[in-house]
Amino acid sequence: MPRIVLENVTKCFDRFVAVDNLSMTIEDRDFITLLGPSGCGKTTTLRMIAGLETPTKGRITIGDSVVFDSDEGIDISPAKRNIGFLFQNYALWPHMTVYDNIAFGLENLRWSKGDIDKRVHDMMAMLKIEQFEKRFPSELSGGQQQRVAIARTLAPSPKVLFMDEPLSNLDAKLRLEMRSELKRLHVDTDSTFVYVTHDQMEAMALATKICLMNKGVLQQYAPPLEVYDRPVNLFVADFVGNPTMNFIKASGRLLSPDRVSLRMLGHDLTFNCNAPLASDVSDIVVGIRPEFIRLEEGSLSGTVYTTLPSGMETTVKLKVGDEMVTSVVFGSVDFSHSRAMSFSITGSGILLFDGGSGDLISMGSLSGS
Amino acid sequence: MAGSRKKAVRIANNVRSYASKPANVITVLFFAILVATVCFPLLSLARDAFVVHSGEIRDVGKPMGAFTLYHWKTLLFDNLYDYSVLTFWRPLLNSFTMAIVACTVAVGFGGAVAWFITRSDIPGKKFLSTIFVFPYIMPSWSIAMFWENFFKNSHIVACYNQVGMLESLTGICVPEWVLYGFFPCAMCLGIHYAPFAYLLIGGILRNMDANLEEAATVLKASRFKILRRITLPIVMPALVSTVLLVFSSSISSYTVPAFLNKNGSFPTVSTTMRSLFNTAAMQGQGFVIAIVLLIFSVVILTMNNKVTGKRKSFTTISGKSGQVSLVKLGRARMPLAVAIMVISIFFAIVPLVSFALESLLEVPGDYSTLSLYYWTTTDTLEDRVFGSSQGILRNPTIWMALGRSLVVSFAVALISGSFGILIGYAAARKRGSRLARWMSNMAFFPYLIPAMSFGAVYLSVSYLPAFSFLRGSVFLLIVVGGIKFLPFASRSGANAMMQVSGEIEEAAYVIGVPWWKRMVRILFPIQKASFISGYLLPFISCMRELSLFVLLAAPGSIITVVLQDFEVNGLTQISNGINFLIIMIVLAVQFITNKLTGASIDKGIGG
Amino acid sequence: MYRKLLAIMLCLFIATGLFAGGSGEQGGAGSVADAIAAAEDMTLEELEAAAKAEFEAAGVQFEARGASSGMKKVLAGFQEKYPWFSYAEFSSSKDQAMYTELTTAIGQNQYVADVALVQDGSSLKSMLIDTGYMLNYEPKGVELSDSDRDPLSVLYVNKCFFWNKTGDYGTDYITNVWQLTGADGVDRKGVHQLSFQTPATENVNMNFLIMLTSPEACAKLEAAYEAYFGEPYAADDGYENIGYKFVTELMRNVTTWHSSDTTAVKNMATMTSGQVVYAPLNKVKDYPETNDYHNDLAISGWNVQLEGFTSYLYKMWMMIPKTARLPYTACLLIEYICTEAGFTSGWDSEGYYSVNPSVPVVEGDHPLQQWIDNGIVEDIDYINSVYREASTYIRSLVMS
Repeated sequence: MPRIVLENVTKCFDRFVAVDNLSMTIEDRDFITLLGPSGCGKTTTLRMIAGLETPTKGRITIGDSVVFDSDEGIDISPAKRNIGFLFQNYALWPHMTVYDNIAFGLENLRWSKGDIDKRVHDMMAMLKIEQFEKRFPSELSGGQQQRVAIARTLAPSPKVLFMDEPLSNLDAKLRLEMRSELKRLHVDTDSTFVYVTHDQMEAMALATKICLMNKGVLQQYAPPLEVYDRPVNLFVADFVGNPTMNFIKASGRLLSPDRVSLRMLGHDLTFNCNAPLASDVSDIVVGIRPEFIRLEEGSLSGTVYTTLPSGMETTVKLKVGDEMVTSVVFGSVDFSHSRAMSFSITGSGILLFDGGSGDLISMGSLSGS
Repeated sequence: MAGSRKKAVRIANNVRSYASKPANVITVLFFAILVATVCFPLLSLARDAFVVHSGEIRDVGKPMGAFTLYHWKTLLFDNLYDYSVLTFWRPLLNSFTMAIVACTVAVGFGGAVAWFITRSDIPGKKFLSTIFVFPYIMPSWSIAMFWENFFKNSHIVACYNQVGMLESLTGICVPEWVLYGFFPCAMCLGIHYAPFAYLLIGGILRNMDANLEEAATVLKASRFKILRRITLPIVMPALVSTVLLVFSSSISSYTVPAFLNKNGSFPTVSTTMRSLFNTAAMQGQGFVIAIVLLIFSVVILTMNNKVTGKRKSFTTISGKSGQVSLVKLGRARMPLAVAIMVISIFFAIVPLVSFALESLLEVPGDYSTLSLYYWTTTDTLEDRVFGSSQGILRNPTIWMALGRSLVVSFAVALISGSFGILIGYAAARKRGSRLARWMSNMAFFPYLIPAMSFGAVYLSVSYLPAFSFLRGSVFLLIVVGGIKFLPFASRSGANAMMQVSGEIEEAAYVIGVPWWKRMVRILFPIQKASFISGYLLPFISCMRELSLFVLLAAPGSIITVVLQDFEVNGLTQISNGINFLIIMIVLAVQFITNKLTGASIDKGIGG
Repeated sequence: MYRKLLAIMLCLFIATGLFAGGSGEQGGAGSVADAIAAAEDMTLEELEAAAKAEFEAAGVQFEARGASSGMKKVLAGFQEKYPWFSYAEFSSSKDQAMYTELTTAIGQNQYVADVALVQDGSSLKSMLIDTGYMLNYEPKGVELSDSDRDPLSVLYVNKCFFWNKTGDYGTDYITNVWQLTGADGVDRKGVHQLSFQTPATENVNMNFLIMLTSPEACAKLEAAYEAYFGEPYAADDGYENIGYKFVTELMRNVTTWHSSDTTAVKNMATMTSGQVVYAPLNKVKDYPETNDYHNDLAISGWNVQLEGFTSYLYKMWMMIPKTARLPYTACLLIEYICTEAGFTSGWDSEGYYSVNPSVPVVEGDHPLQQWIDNGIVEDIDYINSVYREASTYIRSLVMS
């Protein structure tokens, strides 16, 4: 039911534009992550939707009601937006026990004592923090505090839940654990989640849709795999994926509407487009995910620069002329430094970006290697 | 038509949503309140330095109220009998040197004690840190009074050759310059403000990450080198802050130089200002000095903000620092402890005892005449004083005034403490907003306006028909006190608010907790100690305040006015006794508050 | 933008609140001046009737301001005589506090008091009379000297030099005012310990010093000079006149700037090392015969003679604010103060003298005329004519 619509939302701090003319629609029961490097405006966007920050311009609708409209001068307070908010550093009230922290919001909604008690205990059971009922936040570990914060946020059953990098203060192991619990919670609570993170892995793992931002401007708003497979520009392609995509400069010549001759890595290769292409291709950046580089086969060659095994897979960096090419190999291998290495570029997910604008021009496969 | 209608709706909506945020409402409200209560006195002060007053018509040759630069020209440049040098430039120089020495004493003494308490293994820390702040709680003139009582001796004419404590105990007679003039003024102010330095510097040292010093120890730096190269630079902002605040307080201090200038050798700008105010034909020049002092303070505070603002990151509190390795004082431990203890007790406890004693001597200075006469007699001691002049314990005028003073001080504390919290809240929530910045700056201005002229402005307000209900009422005192003592309260309020992350409040905001409940249930409990300290400081200042109220208070209305009445009528036993009572009450209130809530004045000054 | 607008509007609103209301609640100077003029033409009985009628119609308490605590008792005495009368409790206030209050209130055309007893004629003249803030009433049937008539002074206060005659300066040691400058004369030595309330803040003392430069004072000082130094004063030493010379040396000889006359006299009384204190004669009442120091005190003009001058007599003036509510009652009170009963109810001690020659001085004190002949008397016109020059000079003496 609550569909969130942002229309031309802009936020300026003095002269600095934090969010620039952002429009997007968040469907009911989506799990949206706002992703981007720090300072890209993702937290500001979240806080604007929640009502904690006032946009400079634009219009925000939650469900049927306009909660903000700069033209009409409407600005509904967060309290009336029926939302939950999970803060980066939990913002637990240090002078209240775990129980009181969870119950305080409910008291405020004029729930009866019995109902509050039941709900608080349900929440504590759900998040496995019953044994901490009487403790103060300072007596809990980071992960336990996080659970209390989640319980507190979920207790009033908000229809929309906003989370601002809620896992960033946890250690790596705990973070993974909480990640899966959050995803499970999304299913269980049947509500819309909007989640801010700068961790692209987290975004990929959790979201039904990723909203990637840079310098206040929306870059791509799509499901995670689409963002991964078909990044709309060099920034998105570079930001998503680990190890990052190979970007190789090339100059091209159109052979036919769906075939391009490319001069790259010292070779002439042919690019077969998935769809007809009609633009100038003289200045091109070719984007190749490391998993599309196969080692010890094919006609291309380079020398091993460094090998980084991580157990399940190994990242191998090759030096090809002046360029560096990264490949990922399944399993653990160890190549000695500086040895010659042949490789090929496979798969149909090779991307062509315009060298000037950085925008995606085409997708296809390379032949001739 | 439709367009303008829509515009009207938009404006109405805008106003409604602006007003729905308490921080906005507070900012606008307090901006307005402060414009009316602070800017108005300020402007009137500035105006008074440029117009002809009734007593000056003859000299200036212009009608009353006309614009003139006469006051400035005369005071700053008139050479008749070296007038400007004697009444302005030399007193200014005197005040300047006095303030510098006072700073040195305060920072040296207070800073040293702060270091000993936080960084060394000196014994008796708890006791020391408790009594060391006494001189700051006591009115500054009580230290001056004590200084005179202690050092006066039979070789000094200016004190009528009376024998003081030092001479009667040891036979030592100090020379006159120790008793009156530059030296004692600077010393008394320095001692009065030493706790202030102790609190500021101690606060930083206590919160300073010990790793910083430990890292240097690991690198084999000597203790002294660590102090000089690591510790000192880190406490520098607090040091500079202390110096500047002590400097601006000392330079305009009136009571101490007025009291310790019996041989007339040491006129200061503040005593000169008072004398000019008191002369019909020279009031305008008094206002010129007030403006000069104001400019001084503004410059100093701007510098202070620059220094602390820029280097604040230096003093980041990690909160992690665990064990501080205390400096072992070794053999010097006991002697040092005793020395500091003796000095502290000397200036913290002995003055109290001396006031009590003075009130018990039937003949001043004659210790053989100890009696409770001035406390218990039902005789009328002096019919020139207002109301009753019976012994302190039986005197309804004194007790009524004391009660009224307590009520006024509580009300003033309530007003300025609460206003301080609200201003601090708005300033912290609306960081970056120009209006909010103006508001919090204005809240500091009452600190810069001389108490007496502040009082004079409100006297004239109380004679405006619309405000005649204020005239001579206790309510007027509460209003004036509430504003005059706002600066420290708003400072501590802002500090306390800045320390609470905005998310703590937002967490309650999003679940619909109304604003007042967020304040009362969330913010106040978290920063209880700091906030209550914000109430304590105005209370203490108000209990002992006289100059601010002298023009406004009805006779016999508050205790300091009664005290002065007894003092000028020569009943020094009773005035000493009242002084003793005031200090005891202030100490008791501070002690009880501290025990009940953990608040103390150091938390109020903090940073 | 609208934030600023909102703020500006609020400021304007508050400003109007502060300044609105404008015109005062009083009928203006006209009615009070008229009442005073009418009162001057009435007989005492008519005035009593008018005051009573006015008082009962107004239904407010009478309020007085004054620099002397004697007013407190005067009001009580007045009430005893006229039982219909009631008043707000009185507390003395002086100089700046009182002048600020009076000028602030009357300047805004507001009621402040019905009558005020003020000292420091220089301030009175420039701040209250020249501005038309206070009006004069001349009591009936009192033989006033011309200088006391307008403004009306009701009271002379006497300030003398005190010392302990059992101490270093025995009874016969100080006999000439020039000794107080510290200079040694032909057969007597100067004294070197003088306690004085600074003229920088004590306006009465400033006026005293200014009066010492007047022609009458100069004549007295010249005579004493010749008697002390054995030769006439040679007016070629760079001073404006002998008064300036005396004031300069007197100020340079001050060793203590005391802040309370009462305390200063108390301290001095117990001293035997010879301190001379300049203080009001009325402090003598603190030393009745039962007091240990009763016989030790020497006071110039009181029990020891001093060549040159013995004391300074300053005046207290009583005037009616133009915003008074009860002008007839104020006039009647002035009449009362000028009677023997009225005066003695307030100032029944040494050092106070009524302007009404028929009011006798306190037993033991000397008649006013004797003090006037031997002393210096405050003269508003003279002080005002030289005020800026002389006060600047005196200020320079005490500030250096």
